[in-house]
Amino acid sequence: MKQTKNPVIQHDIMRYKKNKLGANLALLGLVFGCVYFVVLYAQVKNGDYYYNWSLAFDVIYNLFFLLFVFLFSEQVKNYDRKLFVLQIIIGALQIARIFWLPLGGITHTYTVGDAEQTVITAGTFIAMTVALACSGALIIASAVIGYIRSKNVERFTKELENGQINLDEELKKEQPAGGEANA
Amino acid sequence: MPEVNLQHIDKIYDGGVQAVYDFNLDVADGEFIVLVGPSGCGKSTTLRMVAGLEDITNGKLLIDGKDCTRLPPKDRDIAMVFQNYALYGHMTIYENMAFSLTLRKENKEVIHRKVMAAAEILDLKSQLNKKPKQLSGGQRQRVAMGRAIVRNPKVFLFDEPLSNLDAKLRGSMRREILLLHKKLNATMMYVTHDQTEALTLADRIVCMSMGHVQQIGKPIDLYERPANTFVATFIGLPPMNMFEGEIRGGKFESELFSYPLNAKQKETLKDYEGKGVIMGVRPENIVRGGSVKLTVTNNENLGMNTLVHGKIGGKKIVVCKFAEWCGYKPDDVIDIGFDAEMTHFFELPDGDTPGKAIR
Repeated sequence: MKQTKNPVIQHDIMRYKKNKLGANLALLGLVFGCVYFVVLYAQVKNGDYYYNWSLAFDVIYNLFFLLFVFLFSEQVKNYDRKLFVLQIIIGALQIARIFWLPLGGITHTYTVGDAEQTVITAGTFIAMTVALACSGALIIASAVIGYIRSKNVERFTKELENGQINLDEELKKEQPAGGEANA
Repeated sequence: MPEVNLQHIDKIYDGGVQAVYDFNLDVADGEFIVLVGPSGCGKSTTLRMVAGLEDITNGKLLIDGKDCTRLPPKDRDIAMVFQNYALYGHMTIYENMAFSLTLRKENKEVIHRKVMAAAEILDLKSQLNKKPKQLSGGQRQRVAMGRAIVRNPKVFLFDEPLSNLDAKLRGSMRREILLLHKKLNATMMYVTHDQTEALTLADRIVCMSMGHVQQIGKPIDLYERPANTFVATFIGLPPMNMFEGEIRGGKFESELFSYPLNAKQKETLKDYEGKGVIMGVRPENIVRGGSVKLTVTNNENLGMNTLVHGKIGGKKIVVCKFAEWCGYKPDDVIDIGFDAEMTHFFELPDGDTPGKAIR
């Protein structure tokens, strides 16, 4: 029998358990970000298209990216939403980065012997694009989940403090049918 | 049906050392049993055998009628609370208490309800988001008990749970365990070397020495009717004073004093005429104003009573407990006597076997 969830209990659980889903999504976004820059830096050769100031900027941005996404994962874990807007911006920037170095690499050509060829192959471009898109989407998803859950916890705590919810009564209620099904 | 049956249990370690000899006990449903004895007497080994942490060499263990002799610990439906708490330092109190249920993949709501109910019983609700290192020793022990409670086991096992706490905290925790037992009405087996814990907590006490059960009974039975010299001297603080002598002409004659027996004692000891016996008297059953001369060596005023240490005949050390505030000085000589109704007689010990009570 399917478990019927009690919203009060579900919210109360959140007061004692960390938001692991939100935090893990952010960390997964960080991993995809790492995949992106590992693929990118593997393409860099001395004197080629990527070998200029934009690469230096990208390296510095990646350092901040790693730091901030780690901070986002920690704040989301603790139902804190102070950095929510920044997290959304960083997520969006990840997606926007597709149009900078990866797109530049696939559209820029150079001549090898008599043949013209792009700076990066189509496969590399797809890998970079997927990594950045996943990274951005996961970071944004983490921010949204973190925001919703932190709002829920905040509202629930206020309702508890105002006496609108009788938690003791809810805890003493019989577990709905199927409650012990997976015990 | 008894909740726990221990039938002829022996524990022999690989090296051939026997820790427990022929242990027999029926623990009733909801009973609080305390195993008490000095270090190395086999009480913890017995408890660990019930828990499944030690193999049972010989004998049979039944829990709620089911043979659990060879069953692994996880299948016995018991919960054990250890002296060192055994909490996970990186988890919060909530997570520590929920851990065993999470491992069993119980529903989150069910886990939450059980954890909150246990936290309510143990007054830990405000501590649930803290880590164990942020709690005091007593609170940590309560968490360890909470972890046992959430599992709703058939039997609770406690292995010297209060030994790491200071005396004051031990007293309050003792009362909490007693309240917990009343609230849960659960079957509990509790190991301690502290006789105060044993006397205050137990429905029945199992007194052990050198792997052997010396006496099983209600606390008052062990105190007032000890089965042998070991129980007589182990239970009670200060311990019972023991005098060796023999029965001669209606008197207990020792080299230090002569004690006339009353009619009841004469009847009880009629088969021991001319034989060696031990007379035991608890310190509180020694009265002032008898025919025995005691030379005071030390006078300890404890507020509500006074412990007077002294020697009889310059040899035998005796402790008396007087209800009044006394001001004796070393070398004072006082007259003492023994409350005839409260004297105990035992046979002489036979090697390592304590002398049996004569009744």
